Amino acid sequence: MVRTIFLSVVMAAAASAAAPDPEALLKQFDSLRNGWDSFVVRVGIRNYEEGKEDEEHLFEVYQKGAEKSYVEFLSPREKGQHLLMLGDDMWIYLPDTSRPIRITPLERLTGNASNGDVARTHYATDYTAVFLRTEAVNGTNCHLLELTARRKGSTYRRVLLWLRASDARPVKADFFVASGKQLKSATYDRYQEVNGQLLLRSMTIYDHGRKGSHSVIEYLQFTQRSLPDRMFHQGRSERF
Amino acid sequence: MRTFLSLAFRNIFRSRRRTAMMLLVVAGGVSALLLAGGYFSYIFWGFRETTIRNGLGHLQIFNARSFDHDETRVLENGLTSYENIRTVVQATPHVTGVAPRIEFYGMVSNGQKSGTYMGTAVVPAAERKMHFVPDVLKGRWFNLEGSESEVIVGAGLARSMNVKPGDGLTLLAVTADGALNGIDVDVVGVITTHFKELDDRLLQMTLPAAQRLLQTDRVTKLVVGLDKTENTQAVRAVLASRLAGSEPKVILKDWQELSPMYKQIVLMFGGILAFMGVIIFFMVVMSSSNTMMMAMFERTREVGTMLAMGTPRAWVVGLFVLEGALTGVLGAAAGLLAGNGIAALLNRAHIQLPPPPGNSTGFPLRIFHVPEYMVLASILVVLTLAAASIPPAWRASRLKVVEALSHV
Amino acid sequence: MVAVENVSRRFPMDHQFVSALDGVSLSLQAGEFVAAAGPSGSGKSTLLNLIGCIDQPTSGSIRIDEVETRRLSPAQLSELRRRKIGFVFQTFNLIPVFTAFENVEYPLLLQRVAGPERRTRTREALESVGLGPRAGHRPDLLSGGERQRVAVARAIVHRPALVLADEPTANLDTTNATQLIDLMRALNRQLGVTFLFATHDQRLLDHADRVIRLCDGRIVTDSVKEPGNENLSFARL
Repeated sequence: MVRTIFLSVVMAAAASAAAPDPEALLKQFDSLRNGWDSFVVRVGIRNYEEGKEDEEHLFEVYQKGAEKSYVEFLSPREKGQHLLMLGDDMWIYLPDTSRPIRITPLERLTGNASNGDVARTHYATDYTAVFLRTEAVNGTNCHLLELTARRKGSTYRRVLLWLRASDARPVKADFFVASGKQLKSATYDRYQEVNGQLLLRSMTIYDHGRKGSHSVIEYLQFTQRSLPDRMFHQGRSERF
Repeated sequence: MRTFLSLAFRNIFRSRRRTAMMLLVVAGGVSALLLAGGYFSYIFWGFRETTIRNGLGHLQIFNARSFDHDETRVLENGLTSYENIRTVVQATPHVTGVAPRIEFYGMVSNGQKSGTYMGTAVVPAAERKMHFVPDVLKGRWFNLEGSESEVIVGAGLARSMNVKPGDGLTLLAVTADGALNGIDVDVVGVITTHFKELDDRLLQMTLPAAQRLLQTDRVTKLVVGLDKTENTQAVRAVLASRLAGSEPKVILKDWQELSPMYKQIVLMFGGILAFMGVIIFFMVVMSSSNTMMMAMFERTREVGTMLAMGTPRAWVVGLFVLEGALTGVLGAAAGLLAGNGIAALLNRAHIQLPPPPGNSTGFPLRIFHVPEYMVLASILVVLTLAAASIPPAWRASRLKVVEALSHV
Repeated sequence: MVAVENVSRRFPMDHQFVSALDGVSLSLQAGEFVAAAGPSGSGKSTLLNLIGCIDQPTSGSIRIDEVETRRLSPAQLSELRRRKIGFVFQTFNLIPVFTAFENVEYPLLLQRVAGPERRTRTREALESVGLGPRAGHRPDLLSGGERQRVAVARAIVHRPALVLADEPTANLDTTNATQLIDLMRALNRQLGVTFLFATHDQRLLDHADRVIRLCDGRIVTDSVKEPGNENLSFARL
């Protein structure tokens, strides 16, 4: 009995001595999806509903810094649609129309993936992080961070993020809306090292309310590329 | 029998002043019921006709599936190949027009701001034929030469999207296949339905434009207009039989089913009227019971004499009840005259009333002359007075002859 | 025709009983012209009420045309009165909203006599009391004497077996009283209807064939005048 108490005190001391820096951890998490300042990534999303899967939706995401992103819809049925994010604002452009439609990052892109899940992935700029505690998830020790939205363009109001204590890889996350209700959860499934960069290859987003409804996001190809500013402007004239 | 009637009648006028008082109360009660009932009838009529002419129509025809199954995709339960149905309906007597409609929701953008709209797609010529043209505040409604991409917006939506006739908007909607689609449209008019909640969201477009946006050739329903609202049930029966074997199977709804508010309004006001009837009943009973009892006492010796002469007690009861009923009849007649007269005068006065809840314009006061209410009110007071005369009548019949004869 | 046997009528008053009539017996034949005389409270009115079937004796029996009145239900008594009895009251008791004609017609209505016959008989009754021309007037337009004559017409129009008159002349002046007495006498002779009065009017008593004197609820004397005796009373003066 005395030995147990002695050991737990020692471990607690060790743990508190190694209290992680939440902001640093978050930046590290962001780098898994944003390996460079300016890049293009092809994303494929497959939606599953009660075991039935639909066809893969393809997107080409152009990212410049944390404030500009542009998504091109590639799937045949959605061809011609684009999504533009500038700072806190987001619009969708439909073929054969002359005006964009203002939308929010929380709105659905496809399946359980919101617009923000694909176009707004810099959590360090969008959220303030606080370290809550270390706890085990499926046998693995994880640091639990609580993220609170710090700008009006953030996708969610609150996120709980579990990062592996050993290497800060994300294990899972829970996403909440303004009312406090949990909307979804996510697991981060596959990683790959490319040219020394550790990148996320696939994650799954689950609907919190409906069992059997989830979407798998696959990051098919990352390409570092320098992107001109005129690609990210609001008008409809030629971007390329 | 005639003599008894005559006796009862003459007895009523024994005390002119007392009878006049009773008649005043009865006539007042009847008048009140007629005026209230006539006013309520007008309200029902106004609400009914406004709702119907605001585009509800007299009958609507839907795909029978739409009431059993929820739609997961827009127009999943819509009407396909509706032209033959339309022909059948158009050929039915009393039908003034058949208008196909699509109703759906979507998002609208003016370039800076997005909002949601409640879209109604119409065939302008069909709507015009049935006078379903709403009140235009700015610009114009659809005309027959206009392009497919014209839209009309409600006043509230125009304000929130900051558009006026001549401006453009982009409409976004989910198609029948579940994909996102958008079209550019031009605002040609701003309208009001006089209901704020509708004006805030309403967007009317042409049927071809909606079918292009939603990628479908179906419609939500067919709206049928009739020459007179009174013909609704008859035409419904005819259509039900004529469309019995149609493909797809259709279901008919009349304006009453489609406007639950109408039924609620009728019930609510009907309740108020019934409540008034109860109050008037008590007022009449209370004011006449004492009078009739007094009148009976004054005739104690007379009743005693009649009983002495061998008049059956039942005749005595009958006489008093008859007197009560006759007073009721006279009072009702006076009330009918007064009530209808006051109603006619008020109708001539052209008084304006403030807008009802939810509306934005006032309307003139009118009181209908409703035969049903006249009959009911008359029956009510006759029965009330007959009933109120039973206690004194009963007492009169129970008099001991000798005591009655020595009464003062 | 009327048989009264040991009839008493007691009224409860303050834990006691008041005897209006005590063991009275008499009988009346058809066509008699009889007076019941006596001071106030002697029971003469009560006697008339009992015979008229508008009151029931406490003990004893009354038979009208052999029918025991005690055995009859209120509805049956009413029927008996309707057919066999006519009333004349001190206060006339005419229905004020009816004309003289309609007042007289009333008993025939009660018996559901048909219209034409009813009207004929009513007219005859009014003629017989001398009020033919005044038939269309309401009681308030008639004098006291005329009203009582209407009442008499009403009392005989349905040819009852018996007419009961309680103080019929009390509210009339001498002239009218005399006329009325003569009238009733004439009708008694013509129609053979039995007349029974309660009265303390001497003039009436003088005309009666038979006088029953009552005192304190009991019969004191019951004497039949002989036809010649009328002159006798005259001679006494």
